Amino acid sequence: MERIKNYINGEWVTSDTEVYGDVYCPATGEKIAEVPFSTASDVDKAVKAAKEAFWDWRCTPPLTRARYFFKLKEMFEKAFEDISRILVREEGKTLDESRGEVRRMIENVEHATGVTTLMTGYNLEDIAHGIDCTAERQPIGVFGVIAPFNFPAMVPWWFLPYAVVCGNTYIVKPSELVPLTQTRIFEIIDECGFPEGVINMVHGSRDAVNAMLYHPDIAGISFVGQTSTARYIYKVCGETGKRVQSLGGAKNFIIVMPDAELDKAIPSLITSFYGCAGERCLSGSVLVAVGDVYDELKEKFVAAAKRLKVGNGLEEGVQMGPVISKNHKEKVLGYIEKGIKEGAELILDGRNIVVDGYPNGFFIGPTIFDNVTPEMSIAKEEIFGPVVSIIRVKNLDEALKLIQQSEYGNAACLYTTNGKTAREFKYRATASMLGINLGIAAPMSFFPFGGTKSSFFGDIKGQGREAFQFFTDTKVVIQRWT
Amino acid sequence: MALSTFGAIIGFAAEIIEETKLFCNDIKEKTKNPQLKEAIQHLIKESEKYYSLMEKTKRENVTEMILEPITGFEKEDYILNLDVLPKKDDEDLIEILLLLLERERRFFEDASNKVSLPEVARILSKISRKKEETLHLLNDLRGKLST
Repeated sequence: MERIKNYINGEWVTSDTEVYGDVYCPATGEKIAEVPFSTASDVDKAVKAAKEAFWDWRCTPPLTRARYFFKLKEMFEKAFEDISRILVREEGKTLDESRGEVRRMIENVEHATGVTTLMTGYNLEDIAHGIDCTAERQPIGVFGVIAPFNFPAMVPWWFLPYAVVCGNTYIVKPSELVPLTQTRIFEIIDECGFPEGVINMVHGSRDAVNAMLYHPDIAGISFVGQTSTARYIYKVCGETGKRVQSLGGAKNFIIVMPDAELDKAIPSLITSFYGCAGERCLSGSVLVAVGDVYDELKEKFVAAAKRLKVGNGLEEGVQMGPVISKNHKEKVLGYIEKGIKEGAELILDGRNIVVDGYPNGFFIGPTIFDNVTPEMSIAKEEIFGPVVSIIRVKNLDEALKLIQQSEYGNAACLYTTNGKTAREFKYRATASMLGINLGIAAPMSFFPFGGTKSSFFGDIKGQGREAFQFFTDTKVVIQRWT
Repeated sequence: MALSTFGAIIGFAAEIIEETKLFCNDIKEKTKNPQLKEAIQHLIKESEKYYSLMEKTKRENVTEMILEPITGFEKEDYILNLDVLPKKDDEDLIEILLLLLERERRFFEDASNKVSLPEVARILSKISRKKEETLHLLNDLRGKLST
């Protein structure tokens, strides 16, 4: 059985730990690797290497730093299918979803190579008589990411390329459930020839996370995961004086107006609710039917959900894969039980799905609850699975109230053909990533990614121009030579 | 088997392009006719070009936001069994090439209507048109051979 190693100071090294976790293929339920639960001393070695590498890397011209990423992009393109398949094997999503994810990872590399434009500061002469002022962006030191399981390739790359191209050094801590994708990616980083210590990877779980959070030589942390952990990360980074961007969970409401073009909307809604088996922070979770669209929407949506082909994501043509683990499957099934107990009507039951050839996979079929009310757990809490709650409301005001009252504020979507309705939604919805006539409001690399309320803790979001702000200090220089 | 995802469609497109190329490689030494030889070489080059284009499309045009399920598109409608067809002379070979090209023309046209990404639909539609042009060339050649 493969025992995964850490990547520190340009070398593959065995962790100091004696504790290893099991990595499973969600489609087959088979154990496929063992991941080290790295110790504080492993993290310390990575931080030392990154700190040691910082000054030389920081003094390397930005364009030279960008050239490493130009090369890396080409190497990623060559390994595209390989990375995509490794990702499917350990995470379970479909091949298309995986390819889409790897594409987004590469797009962040592409965007980061614009550093020579995007990292520039600004200046003004004569801020007072004969005195000039410049604001310069400078790298800060060692940064790290603590990544979730659901996007094993992409999420670390919302942050890493920007941090490193700005002149910082970096440590990636992948999710212990999906360590193989980043391990493959780091093999490519190794071949690419970055200077030793600039990019490091430490596998692990809680101990490694805490070691990163409390390490005095780490300047900032990016985190993506569930809200309780996001809140904890934010709190500890506050205590330890680190920069932090901590992205939490979501409960996304998808509103369908009576004037929506349903035939166009349905495939898009299916992608929103069931893409990645509902395991993404942008997934639709509550389908809000406004007014008399309810009957037709329900009928068409249920029919389309029933047609979804569920199976091993490695098989081309499969439209929905399993959830990540046995434990997570149990958690999602628990929510379905809860929905029934709380009085919602289960109109499509995915609990007992049989996938030919994969009796031990962690599959849950498309599931739909009707007659859900806002106070039910399934309408309020993040399920992170292929479970849809339908809520019927009278008008847009009622629909917006659901979003406004939600604890979360990650994403929300609206389907309409009316511009005024769209504007009202855009103006009043209390979520940070909005989709109008699309179901997955996923900002591309050149726009910021992150929510509000309990979906995000911090000030500066991931990707976009903001990334260059998060990973640099703005140094102001005021000069008089006259 | 249902071609129910973007990847399944582009993957099958690459498969049928490759099948044409393999057949052309098999027969390129069998004919003595210089015009047919030239046409076969052209088809091999064209197949290589479009195969690479499909690989690139699969990699670069997959957009997570709009990976919508696809329905009503079946692989079985485009399967050819070349083993049962005669391959005695140039006329037989041209007949098979015509079948392969017509299959590609039809598939790419149908696929362009199934894929929701406009830039990919345009690529597929363009290949279909190019295949139609090549079909005309081969039909002309068939006419010349039979006279």
